[in-house]
Amino acid sequence: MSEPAISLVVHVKREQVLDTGAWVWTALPQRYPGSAGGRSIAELHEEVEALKHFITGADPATRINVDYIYEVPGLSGEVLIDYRHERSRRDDAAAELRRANDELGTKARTMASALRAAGLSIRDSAAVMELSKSRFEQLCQG
Amino acid sequence: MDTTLSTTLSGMLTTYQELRDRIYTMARQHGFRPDWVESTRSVRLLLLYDSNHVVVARTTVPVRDITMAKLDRLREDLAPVFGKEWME
Repeated sequence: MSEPAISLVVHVKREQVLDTGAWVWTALPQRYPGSAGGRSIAELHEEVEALKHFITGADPATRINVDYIYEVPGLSGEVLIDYRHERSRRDDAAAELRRANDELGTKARTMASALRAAGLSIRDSAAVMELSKSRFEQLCQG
Repeated sequence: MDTTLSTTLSGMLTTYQELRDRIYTMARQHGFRPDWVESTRSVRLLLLYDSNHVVVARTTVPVRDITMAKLDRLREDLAPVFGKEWME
């Protein structure tokens, strides 16, 4: 049985390096030790990915979901939260559509077989199912 | 690391070499064994073991692009075993 997932919240902030004064990104895991950094957000993500099992003390097989919270001066946190919320809604809708399509495909094939078994022609069967003849034939082959 | 900058940061440790040396010193004083697990581009992973081979602390030590937040986090992570002012 797989290990339950761990949720790791990471605060990300921009900071200046002490010696060079260059601006970099710092990742600070919440409720866990350690820190990570990157010269770009992508590099920071790579670092956190490489470190997340060590930081949490979790077994390498454990799934760890990382939730980044960005502290960017001048950027309202709500903007990012709103964006994530809408993206999550879009992903849920897309997943639901995929599920519905799979179920519909199964039922359509059952229906097509039943119509043909009842002696209907391909043209009539397609008409009953409100499909084109070619689509119905495709369905019968699939 | 510019030594002038070290001084302006009121004697605080600001380079990887300084941090590593202080960790070795403090570990020796408290009877812990440091174990560097691995490295990434930005940090080295540190475990501290007591004399019974039990992990007493786990943290990351920055090796490049050292910032105040990273130093603060390191200080907090090792304060329970080394004491609050171990980095001073």
